Amino acid sequence: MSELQDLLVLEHVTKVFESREGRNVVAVNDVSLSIRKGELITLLGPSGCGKTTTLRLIAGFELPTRGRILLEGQDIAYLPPNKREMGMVFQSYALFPHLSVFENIAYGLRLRRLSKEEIEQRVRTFMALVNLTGLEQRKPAALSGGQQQRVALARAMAIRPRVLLFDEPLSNLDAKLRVALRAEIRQIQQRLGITSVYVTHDQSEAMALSDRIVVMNEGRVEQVGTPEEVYHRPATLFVADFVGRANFLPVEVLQLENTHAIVQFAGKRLCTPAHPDVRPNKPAVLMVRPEAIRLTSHALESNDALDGVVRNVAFLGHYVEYELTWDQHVLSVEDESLPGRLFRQGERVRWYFDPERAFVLPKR
Amino acid sequence: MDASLGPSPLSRARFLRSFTHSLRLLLRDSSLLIAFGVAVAFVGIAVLYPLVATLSRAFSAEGAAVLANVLARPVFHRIILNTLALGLTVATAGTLVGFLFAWVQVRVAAPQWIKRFIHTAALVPVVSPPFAVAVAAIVLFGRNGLLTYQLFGLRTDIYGLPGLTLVMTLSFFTVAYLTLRGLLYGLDPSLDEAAANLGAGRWHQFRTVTLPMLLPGIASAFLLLFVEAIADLGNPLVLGGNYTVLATRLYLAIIGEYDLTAGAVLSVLLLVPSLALYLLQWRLATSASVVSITGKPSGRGRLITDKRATIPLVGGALLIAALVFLIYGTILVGAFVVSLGVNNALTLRNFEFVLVGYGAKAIIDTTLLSLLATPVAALLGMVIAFLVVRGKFHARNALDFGTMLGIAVPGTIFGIGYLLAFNTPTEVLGITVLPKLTGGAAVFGGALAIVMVYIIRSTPAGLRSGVAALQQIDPSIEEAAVSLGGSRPTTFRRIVLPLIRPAFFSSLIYAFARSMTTVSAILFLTTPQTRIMTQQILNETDAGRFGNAFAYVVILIAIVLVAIGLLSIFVGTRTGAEREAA
Amino acid sequence: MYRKTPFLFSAVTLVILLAACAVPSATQPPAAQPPAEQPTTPPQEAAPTQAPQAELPPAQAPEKPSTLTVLCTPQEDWCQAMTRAFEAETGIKTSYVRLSSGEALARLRAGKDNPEFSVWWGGPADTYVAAKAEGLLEPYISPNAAAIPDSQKDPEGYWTGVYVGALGFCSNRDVLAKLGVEKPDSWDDLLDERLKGQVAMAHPASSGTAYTAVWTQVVRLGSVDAAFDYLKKLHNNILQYTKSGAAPGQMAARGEIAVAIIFSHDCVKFADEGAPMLEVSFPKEGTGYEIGGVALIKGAPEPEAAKMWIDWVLTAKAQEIGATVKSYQLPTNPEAKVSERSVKLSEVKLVDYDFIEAGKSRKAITQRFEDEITVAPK
Repeated sequence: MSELQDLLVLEHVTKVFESREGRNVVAVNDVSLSIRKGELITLLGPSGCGKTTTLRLIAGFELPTRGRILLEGQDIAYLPPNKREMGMVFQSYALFPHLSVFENIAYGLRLRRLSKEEIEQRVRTFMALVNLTGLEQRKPAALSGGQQQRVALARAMAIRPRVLLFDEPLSNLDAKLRVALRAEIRQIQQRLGITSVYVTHDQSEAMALSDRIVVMNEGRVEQVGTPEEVYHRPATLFVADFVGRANFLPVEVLQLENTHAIVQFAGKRLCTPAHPDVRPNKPAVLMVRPEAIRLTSHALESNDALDGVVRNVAFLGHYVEYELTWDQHVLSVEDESLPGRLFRQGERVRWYFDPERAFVLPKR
Repeated sequence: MDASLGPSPLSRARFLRSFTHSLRLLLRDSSLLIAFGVAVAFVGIAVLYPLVATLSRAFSAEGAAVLANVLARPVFHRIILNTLALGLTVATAGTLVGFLFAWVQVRVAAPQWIKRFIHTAALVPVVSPPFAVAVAAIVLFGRNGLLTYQLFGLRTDIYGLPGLTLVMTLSFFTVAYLTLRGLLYGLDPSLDEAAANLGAGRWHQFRTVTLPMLLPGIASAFLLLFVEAIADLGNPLVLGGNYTVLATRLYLAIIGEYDLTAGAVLSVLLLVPSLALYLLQWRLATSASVVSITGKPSGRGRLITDKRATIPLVGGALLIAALVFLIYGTILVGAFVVSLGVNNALTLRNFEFVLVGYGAKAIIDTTLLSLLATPVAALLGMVIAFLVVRGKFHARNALDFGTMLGIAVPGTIFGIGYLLAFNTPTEVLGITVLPKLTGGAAVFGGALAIVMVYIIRSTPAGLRSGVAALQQIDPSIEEAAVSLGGSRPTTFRRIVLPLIRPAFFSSLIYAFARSMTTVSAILFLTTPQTRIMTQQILNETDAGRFGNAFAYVVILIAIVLVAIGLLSIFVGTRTGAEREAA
Repeated sequence: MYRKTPFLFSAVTLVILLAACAVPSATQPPAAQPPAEQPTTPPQEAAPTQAPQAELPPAQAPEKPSTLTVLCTPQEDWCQAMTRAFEAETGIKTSYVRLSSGEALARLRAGKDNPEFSVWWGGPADTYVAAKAEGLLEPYISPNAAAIPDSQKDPEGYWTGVYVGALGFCSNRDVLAKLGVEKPDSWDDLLDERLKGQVAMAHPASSGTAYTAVWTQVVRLGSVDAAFDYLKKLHNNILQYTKSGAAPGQMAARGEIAVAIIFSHDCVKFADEGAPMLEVSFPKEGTGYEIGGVALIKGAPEPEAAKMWIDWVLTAKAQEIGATVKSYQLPTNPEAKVSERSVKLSEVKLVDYDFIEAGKSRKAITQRFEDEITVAPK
């Protein structure tokens, strides 16, 4: 990607807050990011990781302690939020409760002194886009949560922002609506090609929506990558653990071969994909996702399989979740749900995985 | 320079960084800076400076001598004890009455008209000058009282502590009522339900669940009443008789003994308990997390229907409410007769006296000055509330407290403070910032000082209701407005103000009523060019022309009521965010 | 001639006070003041001497003053009637503030450096004596003051008497009848046990009237101690000490008490204003009296208008206004008509009241009153 396509750039941005007791808390620590024109990038991380602060720095609600924020090459770190041309969608919708739906959406347009006809036309367009036509004169209090968030989305988009910011917009909605609305957001965002920064702590939401994901922890960026990269090729143990579930197994790295490493695991040699930082004889772990593990009956002999005991079973319909004990470890396994095949608690089983579906990470 | 005296270099560097940081933040948003500057300047000049002037006079060498003299004289020990006793009785009685009213209003099953009647009775004292009740009480319950002597043949002595307690309770219990009513409404009834579910009876529920939950609120109402009672000047002046309290003694020091130093010393004696109790109340009110405000209404709970409980409760509240109306009825009737209880012939002479004579000027002056102060006080209250709630700078708590001093400090002390501070032009570094505000040749005939006092006395209420309203508003609503391209002032005007309109409305009403009825703070500030109704009422009362005093009170109440009516038409009490009835 | 002395005196004081800081401004006043005085004052002074009987100051003064602010101590309606009449006669826009004598002195003291009032009218002479001692007044001998008896004015011209009033007992006839008590005509009659809680007077700290009553005891009984012995006994019968001097009269009018110790003219006024049951009587041992004064305030912002006011209030015509608003104080100008409702001083025994002594002792006596009397048990 060329430099020109980086619409929004954060350079070594740090934000220090002073806590009530007078101690300094580093909320955002030396974050550098480039956001490309037209993409939807998600800031993902546990609460308190600095993702919302980063978003608010971009929006201009907070000032960076250090670092620069460039929008189309221009430093906007000290530009007031109302001069930034960024639309924002809030977790709490933040609709103006005393204004009708129409007036909410028209608010930013009136500030821009658009003509009456243009406002009318643009509000109608965006209301149609979010499927709200007919609700123009309602007050926000008379709308459902999902409708309210659609209004907020229309309002933020109506000003044709240079960047659209989302601050956990779906977390106040119930699960089904969340899934429906996130698909809708993705669709509209792609159709209009609006550059978007999206904050969430929900990894499936991040996966479903994003062109790229920025995983953050304790104010730092852990990894920037496509959902697939983040999931299968995590840059750190934290990412591996936070995005999806993972079993971490003890290995010894013997040798490197291009993108792979030869490792010693449970007395066997495996060739698995490896993190570039993995070095022979340096501590490392083997990450195996629960769905990569397969179970077989203990009765079947196999050289590749290992012994385990079922500690807990949860039948979830589309798959079965097991907890296995193996050599002082507890493993999570997601096994296929097949009629007639269900291992019982306390039952001895055999388990194995395809080394290509595992990943070796350096241990810090 | 001794390093140990100053902050360590490290923390100084940090301070500097956070300082420059907040400065950059403020400069980026100059509107915030201007609002902050205006608020700080106003609080500094109108609230703190007069207080500092009073304190520095009290703690001068001259003041120390006066203080020694005061503390040595037993009569002052008596006065201090009297003051505390008055505070205690009024606070106790006022809290009880307020609680009774609130309880009947929220928790007892009673016909709606009774509740409305009680509620109105509780609010009437707000729109009348505080000592109007005292004057009517003399007519009703005095030695030759219409009720006590002429009806029941009792020779009661209303002058003194019992009379003061009665009158001040009826004048001030509104504060306790409104505080406790709000708490009772906010109390989650499911707690009572849970207690009942566990087998607790009504009385047991009240004692073990409701009362402990309300305790911080009750204590806070008690303390507020205490502060208000010891600060009051009008009632003890009219009804104190030989029962002298600090406020009246302070008045005497200025008016009778022409001794500003003694006034300043007594001010400090009065200021210490007032501020201490006020701070205690502040802590209680801000830490009252025991009260569970759930936000979503979870039903109103069961109302008390047991006749053994409702009859005494409703009866008691009705009796007190009737007393309030009897007193205001007396004022109304008294305005139209020669001398109520002595010569009950109907006459319009009282109104002629008030409207034709110099009273007309007092009415116009007072109304005009109050009208000037009202929007400023209400708007300032909202702006300071905004800075306090949404501000990100360190000074916001100091700004909050400084503003609240306007009401925490007894009015008389401001009267003295203004005399001490503004009787000469105010200079900073040799530059005159303010002309002479009080006394002769003061700018606008002293009207500016009076308006300033009106504003500082009414802004705190606006600030509190503004803070309460703003805390209900999700800050991201404002952020949304800003991110859509609105500047801070635009957002404040188009989004914030409409949303806190009920708070704004109530603080407009409060500011106007408060200004029209202020007594103690302006008594020392009137000049030949500016006449104030409350002072005229006090003069008429003092001269024993109760009929004229009543006529003034009737006109004053009428003006306040008309103003409230007009305000509710032009400002409105709704935000527009309410869910439509359909 | 001696009108120049205060200027010189103040100039000297100024020199002393300012010597340390600013030499030019300190030397300026003596040089600038006297010549400035010459052109402005003569016309004012000359007019009355040309026409000593004239009721009004001349209207042809070169620079006619346009406003006047009066500090007024008597009842509000009298203040109003006086200022209106003055305004009508001179065209000078006249405003006033009505303050009790104590308040008046407090305000004058507070505004010493920059007075808000030009002239002070009404209120007992002892407060004028105090104000003179504190340097708050400016001497001015009005040409019309010649008509006022010497006993009713300051020999140095700091104040001049405008009315006289005697202290008396203001009784409610109906209440007395119910109690079965005769109208009191001796100070000792007030100690009657049946009058317990039936007597009221004002507090001497806030009221000149009450202070007159207290000082009367000192004169009558010969010593302060004897006076306090009497006041302690009287305290048993006192319902309360009010803030304002006339308030006990209204309490009597409302039937709250039987006897009020107030100025007799106030009692007559109340009786005329709707309380016909009120009756005046005087103690046979002798009673105190007040002389209402008028004085020019030092540093008055409107000195010319103030002098016109003083000249005017000493005229018979101005002194007759009081009776029209039921203020029955006796005029000091012998030519003024005396209302029938006014008390004839010839019929009342007056004590030998020394205003200067009374004024000097005021602070000590009021403090002793507060310490000993108000807290005494009944």
